[in-house]
Amino acid sequence: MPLRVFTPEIDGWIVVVGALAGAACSIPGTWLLVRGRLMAGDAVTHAVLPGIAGAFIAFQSRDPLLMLAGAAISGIACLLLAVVLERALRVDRGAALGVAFSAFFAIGLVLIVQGADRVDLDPSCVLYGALELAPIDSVSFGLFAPGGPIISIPRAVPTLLVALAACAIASWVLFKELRLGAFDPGFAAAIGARPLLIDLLLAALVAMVSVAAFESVGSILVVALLAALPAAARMLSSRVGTMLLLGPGLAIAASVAGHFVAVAVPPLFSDRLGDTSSAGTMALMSGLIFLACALLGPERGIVLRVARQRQLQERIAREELLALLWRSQERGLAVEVQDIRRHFVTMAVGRRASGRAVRSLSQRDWVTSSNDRLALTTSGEREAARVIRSHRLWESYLAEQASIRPDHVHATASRLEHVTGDDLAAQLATETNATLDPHGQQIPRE
Amino acid sequence: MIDWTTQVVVVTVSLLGAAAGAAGTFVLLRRRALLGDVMSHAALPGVALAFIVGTGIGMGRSLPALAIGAAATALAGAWSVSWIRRQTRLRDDAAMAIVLGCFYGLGVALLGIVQSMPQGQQAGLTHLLLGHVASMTRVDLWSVLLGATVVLLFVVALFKEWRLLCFDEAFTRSIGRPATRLDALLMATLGVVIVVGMQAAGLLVVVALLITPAAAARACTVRAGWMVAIAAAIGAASGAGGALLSSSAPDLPAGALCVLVACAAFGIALCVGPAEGVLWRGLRRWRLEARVRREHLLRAMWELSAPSAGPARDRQALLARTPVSVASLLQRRTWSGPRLQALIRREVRMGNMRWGGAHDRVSLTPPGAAEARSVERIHRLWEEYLTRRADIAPSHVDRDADVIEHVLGPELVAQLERDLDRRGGGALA
Amino acid sequence: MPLIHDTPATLPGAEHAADAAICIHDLTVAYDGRPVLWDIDLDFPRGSICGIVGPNGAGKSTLLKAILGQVATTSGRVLVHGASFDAQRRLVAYVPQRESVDWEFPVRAVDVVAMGAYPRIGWFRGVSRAVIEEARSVLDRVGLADLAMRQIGRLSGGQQQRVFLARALMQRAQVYLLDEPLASVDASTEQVILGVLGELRHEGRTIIAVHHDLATAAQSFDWCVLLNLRVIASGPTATTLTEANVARTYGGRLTILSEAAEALRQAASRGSA
Repeated sequence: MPLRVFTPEIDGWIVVVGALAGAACSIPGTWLLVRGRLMAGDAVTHAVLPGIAGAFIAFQSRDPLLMLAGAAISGIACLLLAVVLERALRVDRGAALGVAFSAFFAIGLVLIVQGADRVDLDPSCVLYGALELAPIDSVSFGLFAPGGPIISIPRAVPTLLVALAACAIASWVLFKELRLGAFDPGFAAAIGARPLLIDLLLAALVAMVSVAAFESVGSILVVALLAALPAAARMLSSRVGTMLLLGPGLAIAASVAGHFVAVAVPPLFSDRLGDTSSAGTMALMSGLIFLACALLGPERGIVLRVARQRQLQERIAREELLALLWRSQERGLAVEVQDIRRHFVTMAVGRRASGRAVRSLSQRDWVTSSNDRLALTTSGEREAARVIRSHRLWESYLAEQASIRPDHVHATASRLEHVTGDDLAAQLATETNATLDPHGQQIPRE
Repeated sequence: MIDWTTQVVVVTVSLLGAAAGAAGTFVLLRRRALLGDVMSHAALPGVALAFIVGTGIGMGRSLPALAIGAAATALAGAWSVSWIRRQTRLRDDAAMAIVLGCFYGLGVALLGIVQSMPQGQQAGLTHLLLGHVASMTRVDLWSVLLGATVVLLFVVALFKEWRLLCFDEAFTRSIGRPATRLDALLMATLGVVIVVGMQAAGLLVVVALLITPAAAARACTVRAGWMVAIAAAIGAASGAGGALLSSSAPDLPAGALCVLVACAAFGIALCVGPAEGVLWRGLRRWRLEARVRREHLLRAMWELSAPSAGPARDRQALLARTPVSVASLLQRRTWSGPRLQALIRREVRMGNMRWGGAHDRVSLTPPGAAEARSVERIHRLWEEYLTRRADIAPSHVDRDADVIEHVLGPELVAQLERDLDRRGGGALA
Repeated sequence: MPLIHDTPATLPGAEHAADAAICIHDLTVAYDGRPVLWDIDLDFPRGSICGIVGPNGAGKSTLLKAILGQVATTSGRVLVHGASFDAQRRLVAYVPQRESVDWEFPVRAVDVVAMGAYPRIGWFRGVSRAVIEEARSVLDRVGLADLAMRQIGRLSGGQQQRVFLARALMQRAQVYLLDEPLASVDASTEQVILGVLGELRHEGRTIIAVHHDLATAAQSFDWCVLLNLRVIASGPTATTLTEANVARTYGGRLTILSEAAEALRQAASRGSA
């Protein structure tokens, strides 16, 4: 079956609502991330249930504003309870959150069942949300004057826009207070910046966005947006301001990709399968975006780090090999490939590294091999001399200046020789002023 | 009489509570209380996937397959948390929130597929979240029985190692214990609780029973062994209590009732728990404050007598007759006027002081003077002790003790008194 | 004849100098019935570098926190320049121990230093370019001008300590409270910190530092408080940091004692030279 046709009225609005929800969540999520309190988002999204049910039962109406107010109140109350348990009663932070939100959620379930004969409220709707239904639940209003063009937009759009604007304004106006409260609450208290008040503001923002977003994306998926998008931004930047700006951009990407996957993937497996939950796939996509940023990010990216580590290892292996060849030539011994292998295994560098090192040295024309025997070329000798020189300089330095026993300096010098540049070697040479190392061997000149 | 179904439910849920309480204790001690929450949510995609695959290969809805799927993704979630923490320098809670949200998102997406499958409507997978304690079956009973036995066996067998792991992971490694594998085993145990619990009672109940009884036990004892036992007992009691309550009030969801009973136990433990009970702490603090204030008053009275007066016994006699103006007492310490008045009134009631003049002067009665002397003596002895035994002193000083001998032993006190006399501290004994 | 002793001259409160930078009276702090600080009466004179010295668990950090109003006190009061801390908050700068913050936090060194100016900027207003420029110049003063834009976690331990000191300098305070400023820092950082503290004292400001190392206490401070739950001795370093007082503070800890005796000998010989 070919992919169903995307319609702007339906799919367009779904993507817009998803992106707005993600953008709104990413702002308080960034603050929670740097404050080290991301699981508070999980707690709030569970804790809104009794507020919704309570507002429902108390006022007997489905007025969204009443439900939002109830949800916000119970969400903040849950976080307050957790803070009291943690600070005043010394309960473990995670346990305090866990106890608080499970209690709130249980109360919410009881309330729903109690009010079930009067109202119909499905708790799983709170949990899952229905991004697909967002375009159906729309509000219409006239543009400009009465009689002007009437437009109709999903109700979630203005709600989320308000939440997004509130978060953006709060972060803009109180940027420095929020950052200080997250970075160093002790100092904030000392200068009278009221870290508790800042935490409370943050709790209010989190409650507001989760309430605004859970209707469309479902409460637990709010957790994914709160956590994964800011964490992805953290992988790309080490400044809070930049993270706050990156969040909404990543949200748009997650929303577009999420909805596309929801529509396009199920039919790949079976013709009879319709679209799946766009909210779910959006959460999944935000997780994958985080993964991609963690892997490919600049500076701290895993791929980059592994590559750097590998480069270093290879250089160490090369230098070990050069040193081995040099020492053997110094003693007039021939070196065969299996000697190298044996040496590398005892050095715990690894058998495969030895082959790679030999190949890499031959590529650079630093060694020549004939009949499995290796010999240094002139340029190879120069490189090897550099390595041996820094090794033996270190040995002299450690023995003379750091008073380490001569038979103990070899291991330390073997580690340090690989990270010694020409400047450091020159400095060592002037400080030790030695021509022989502690074992009485010649230190090669430059 | 409790009917058969209720009996099954009570036994099953309390077994589950015991297992969750015991396993949850170690997770709490490892300072990852919310990992159970994360793993429970991460189990969802496994369940949905197992259903889809099971249906695809014609097995239909097979319980063991669902259980294996749930356990697999729950453990994958736990592993992802530790992977993110190791690889990205994000902190624990960020890693947990990411995994929870995204795994759950995958779960919801897969459930969406299940719903649109022809067999999906009967899958009954949604009850995994909210629970269906009241409609438990004998299969649930047997699976919980099996799971709880496995969990409790693990807890008993690995108690020593897990306690060490929770207390000091680096040390565990340094003595050659396989910390990573021990951690994995703990996660696996958690996985077992979650899988059997979700099937029988729903996600909410499992999460609550993993966290709340352990947190309650924490407030009751400072010893890990007792903590495990108490948490298991509270877990079992919450399960049984919730199930019994719901049998008498069938409209109420049994799972939520279990959670609320556990929370009530937590609240009680927090208030009156012998180890960390708020009530005891508040009481101790209040008593200490009252005591310090009273000591300040009596010592101020003592000091305001002539500093050069002779031996303590004569001074005591003199003191009993010497009125001191309230104004000078007020200046002596950082107390407010009303507070000082209240302190004096209390001592007057106890017969230790009496008013003089127009209530602007006070003097000690003979018993009051003796009391002041004793307070001063204990204070001096503590000071002497702090000086003599500065190396161990801070942990032993207990201002709340009435008799210093009870804390330090009579020999040490006699020694301190001799030292005090020798240095001319005044014969206060 | 009844004896009435209420002349001000005999009152212990009277020796508290009205012009002390910080004046602590009657302070008792207890944690679960265990006293951490016991009947502390202390004055820190203005314009001096004061060291709070004592063994582990003696309540040194708690004393700083009590001055800052961050722990509940059982009795007593603290005056900063003659008024309560809350009223005089602007006069006090605080450098916490290094372990107290998250070094992975996405913030640059210059941003951390600018935090010292927040009380002046006030709520709701952003950090202006002028403040950032000032933060840079303060960073220059502690020798970190070229590391201003670096993320805080990528500085060495000693550099982080200097950033914290720079943040305190930004506060333009009269009283500087430092919790173990010289703990595990490199030699050049120690030099910079001691140099800046000397400058501050020269400007008439007061420095109060918790210090664990007896060996360097004699040369670093001109006023010393020996603390072990209660004040063992306090006064000018020359008369306070005596062998007898140190012995009473540290009790039977022989290793520390011999170390202290050595330090005292060194200080004495330096003083006579």
